[in-house]
Amino acid sequence: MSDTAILTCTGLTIGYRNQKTIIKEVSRELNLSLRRGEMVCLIGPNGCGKSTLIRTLTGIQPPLSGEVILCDRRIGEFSPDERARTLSVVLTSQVQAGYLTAFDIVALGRFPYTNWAGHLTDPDKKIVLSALAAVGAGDLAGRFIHEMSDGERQKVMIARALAQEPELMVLDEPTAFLDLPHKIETMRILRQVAQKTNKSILLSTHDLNLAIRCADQLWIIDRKGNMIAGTPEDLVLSGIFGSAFEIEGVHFDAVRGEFSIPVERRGTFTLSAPESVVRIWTRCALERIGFVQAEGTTADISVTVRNEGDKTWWHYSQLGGQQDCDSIRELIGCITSPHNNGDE
Amino acid sequence: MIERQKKTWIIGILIVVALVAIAAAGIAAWAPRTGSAPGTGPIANDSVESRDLFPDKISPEYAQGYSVEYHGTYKVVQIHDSWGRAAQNHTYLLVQRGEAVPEGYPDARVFTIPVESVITLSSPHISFITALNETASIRGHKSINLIHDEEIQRLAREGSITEVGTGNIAMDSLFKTETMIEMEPDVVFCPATGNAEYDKQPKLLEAGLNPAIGGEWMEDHPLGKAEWIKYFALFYNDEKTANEVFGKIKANYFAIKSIAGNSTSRPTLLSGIDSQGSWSAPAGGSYAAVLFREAGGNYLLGNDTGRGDNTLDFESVYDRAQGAEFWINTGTADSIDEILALDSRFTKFRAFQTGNVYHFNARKNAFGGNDYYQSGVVHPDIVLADLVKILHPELLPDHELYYYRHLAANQTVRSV
Amino acid sequence: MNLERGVNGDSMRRLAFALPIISGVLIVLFLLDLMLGSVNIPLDALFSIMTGGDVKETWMNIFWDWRLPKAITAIFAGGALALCGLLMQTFFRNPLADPYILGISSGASLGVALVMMSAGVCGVGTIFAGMGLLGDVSISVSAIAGAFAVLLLILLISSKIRSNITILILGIMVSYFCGAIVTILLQFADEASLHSYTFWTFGSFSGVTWNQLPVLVLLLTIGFTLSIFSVKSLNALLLGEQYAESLGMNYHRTRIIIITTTALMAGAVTAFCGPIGFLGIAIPHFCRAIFVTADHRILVPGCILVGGIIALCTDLVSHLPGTDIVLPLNAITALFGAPVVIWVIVRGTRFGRGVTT
Repeated sequence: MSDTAILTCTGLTIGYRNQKTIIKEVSRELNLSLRRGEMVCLIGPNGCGKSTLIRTLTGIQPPLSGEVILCDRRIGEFSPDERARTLSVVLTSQVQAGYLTAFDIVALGRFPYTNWAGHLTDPDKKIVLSALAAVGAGDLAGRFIHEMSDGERQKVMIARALAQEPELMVLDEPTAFLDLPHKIETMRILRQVAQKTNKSILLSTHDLNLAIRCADQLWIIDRKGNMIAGTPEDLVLSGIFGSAFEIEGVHFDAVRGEFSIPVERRGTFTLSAPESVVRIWTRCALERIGFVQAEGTTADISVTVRNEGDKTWWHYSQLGGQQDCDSIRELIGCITSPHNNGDE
Repeated sequence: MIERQKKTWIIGILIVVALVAIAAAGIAAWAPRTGSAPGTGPIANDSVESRDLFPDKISPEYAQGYSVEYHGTYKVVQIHDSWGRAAQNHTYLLVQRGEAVPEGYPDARVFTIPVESVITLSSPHISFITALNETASIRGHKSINLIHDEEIQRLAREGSITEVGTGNIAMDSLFKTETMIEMEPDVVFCPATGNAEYDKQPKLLEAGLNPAIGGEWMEDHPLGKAEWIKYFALFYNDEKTANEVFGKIKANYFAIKSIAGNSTSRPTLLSGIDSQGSWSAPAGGSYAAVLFREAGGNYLLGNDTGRGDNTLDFESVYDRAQGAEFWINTGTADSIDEILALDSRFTKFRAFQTGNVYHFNARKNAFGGNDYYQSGVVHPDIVLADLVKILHPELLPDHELYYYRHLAANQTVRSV
Repeated sequence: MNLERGVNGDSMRRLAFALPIISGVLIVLFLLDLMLGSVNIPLDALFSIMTGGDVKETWMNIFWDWRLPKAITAIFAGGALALCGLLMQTFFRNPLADPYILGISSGASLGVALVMMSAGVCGVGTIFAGMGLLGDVSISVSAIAGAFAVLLLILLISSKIRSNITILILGIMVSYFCGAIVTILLQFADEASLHSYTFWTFGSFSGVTWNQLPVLVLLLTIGFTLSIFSVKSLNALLLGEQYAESLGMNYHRTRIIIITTTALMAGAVTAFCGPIGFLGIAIPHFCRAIFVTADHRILVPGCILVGGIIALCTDLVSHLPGTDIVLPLNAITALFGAPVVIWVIVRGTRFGRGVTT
């Protein structure tokens, strides 16, 4: 990874302008920098101005003040062609083009390089195919875009952005329509692209958990339009990450690096078990139904995990009695049934 | 070959028409029956009534669109739809002022005669009424600008005739219905459009006006059109004048026809004009084609017996009529320049090259009101004389073209 | 030819395969259109007409002055309308767009109505009386003037407005506006003018004379050329306006080219042949279905050829060879064309069903 900054902005104020009056200022005085080969996730709550920032950084929308520098030149100075060779985008909107194959779509990425008729030379074709291969969509080349699943379509759009051979790829919520495995796959592809081709990637997303794990750098915009940039880990440790997103009742669990689902508290537990996957998921189950780990004080319930051969037993005890369970389902049933949960 | 294919087409069209007719009959069978057989009701009344207030009577010879029965104090007028649609038939009772309305005509509409104030919605109606010397009864007309008659224009300027329509298109919505209601006319003469959708009668009835159809428009024989003067006379109790006027026209018409018959030659002619590849020409059975024949012409596009206009293919017209000696009636074009503006290929016609192009626009005013469509309807004899003069100038040396005009190059006549 | 989609996509190969067939069909139909008509000219006579032999003069004239210009007009006008439809459908990303969506034909109609109806209306007639000097071209000139007035208006406003949906709405509004004026003119027209206006709206390829044909062919060839040079941008537009811009397409310039090209072709065709409907909206769908691609490098030439073919077919049918009857072209285009297109589109192919644009 080299240290050259591909994209920098200084004193950037973004927003919407109507004729000569400034209508809405979304974010003020932003100073950002994106290095070669770096993958940056832009995150923030809905309506905080992610799209506006992306539009400004890609030159679609002029900034209200300040400058965007792409590869040492102001973005406004690029000719459309030059800009297309330096910067490619993947937009949120789904492409609804019938009768176009994946190859056709990706080949459009060669637009800034081809002649007036869009004729593809052999090197062009190779680039298109390798872009498809890079996103794991080599087998989709001949398929029509309108017959693809959302995940496949997203891969093709990323391949298209790749075929444009830019320095920087900007993706606006590339994971928005996808299910979890495809979200992860998309992120994996993007990481790979960033690492292998040494291209810079900026993407906006709502998936905080994924962003923390994939990004080299996070750009967080909070509700007031303030921007904080840093590596995910730094932001988590400093508590900035949590405070930017926490809303009433939802807390960021810094230990696990994810937002916890709030539950009504029912009591405390102690858990004695060897360090294992079983221990982790047993704890998860107890927390899910509202118990927290007892610290120092006496616990309301205690659970012991035993292994006998390949069989696992959960031994549950509380003031009133005790019981052996052979699955977590049974264990939870014991804990939550009113019969067990009081008088005896 | 051509004939056979044409027949195939005609048969095809006939089948479609038959299907439509069957469907219509089915619908009609469900509809309540309203028509009563004409003439059955009044027999009882006849014996009671012995007075005859109408010594002068008329009976149409050529006109197909109406018939009349006299009953002492009233006249029973039947309007026949010339396209044979029963729903467009009407019975009018014309009852002498002050006399009782006879019973036994449940579906008839009653008019008190003689009428003193009328509104006309079609320009030839004005010519009929003027020919009966009843111009003073006209209180309103649809579109004054289109009337060629200076007298009517003057009366309109003086305010004794009110314009009751706007624009020139025959559409109900464009009538000043309120003005008409306020005028309380004895009768509103409205044209039969042949298209129930555009017929004004129902709307006028709704408005409480008393419409009477003037269907000269649908007659095919020139004298049949002119004979509607008798129909108008029924409303004025002026059968005498009508018979005199029509008698003269008829005599004159036949005199000219027989002069034309003396000619040994039958010059060939074509008629109509092309617009974007579709040539509209009078059909063989139409009013214009009858006149062409009676004037001693050989109308090359009139081998059929159809009514109204035919739409023909340009190349077919060219093939049949390239060598025609005369081109009579040039449709929308009023001058040689306008003909050329429509299509320069018209120069390929021999009639065009020899300059034998005539059109009935000699009496057309600045607004497009053409007297051919007005007084020309009442005077088929003059129209016929014009045509004879064109086709056989030697036969009528003293006649001067009245409705027709010789179209010559570089001559634009827009107004009279 | 070149196997661009060597992987699997075979649109270009399909074109290479289809091109000779389609061109062949076009030539056959062109000859058929010359051979068949109301007047039955035997084959040997036709042959001697074409080789300069000695034939009846009327047949010579029918062939040279009517059938030949008519057939040439049909090919060019059909191709132009199909191409206009394609440009508009791609530009607005709307499968229902047609050549007249910008209000071009309404402008042309207004021009024609003004000339045709001028007789009855307060002095407008005198303005156009001088048109007589222009002879043949007065109706065409008025239609072109009307079409280009609308074009200028659209271009002027679209230079201030970014959204092409706004332009779409604008075009529709212009249509209504011109339509309203035409309606008012019609109301004051005398029956003869009304009649000829009605015939004009029926559409026809027969009205074009040798004097007019070079003008029409020149205008349409310019349109074809501009379209061919726009294929790359049109393909980019398939991804949408924003993607196209991100690919380095100059959206503003492309928009002006597409609008001007469409207006030029639609205006010229409307001027000389009347407002011919249906072909423009249907043929692009038809072509997408038969070529199974949305690639404009294939669709642009495809639409020109297929448009010419369908126009020749409809012309043949509307003249009912063997009879002297002629049916309104606009009725024939839809009457015979709609079922064919419905069949092609609804049938579904192994490549997918329906028209997705």
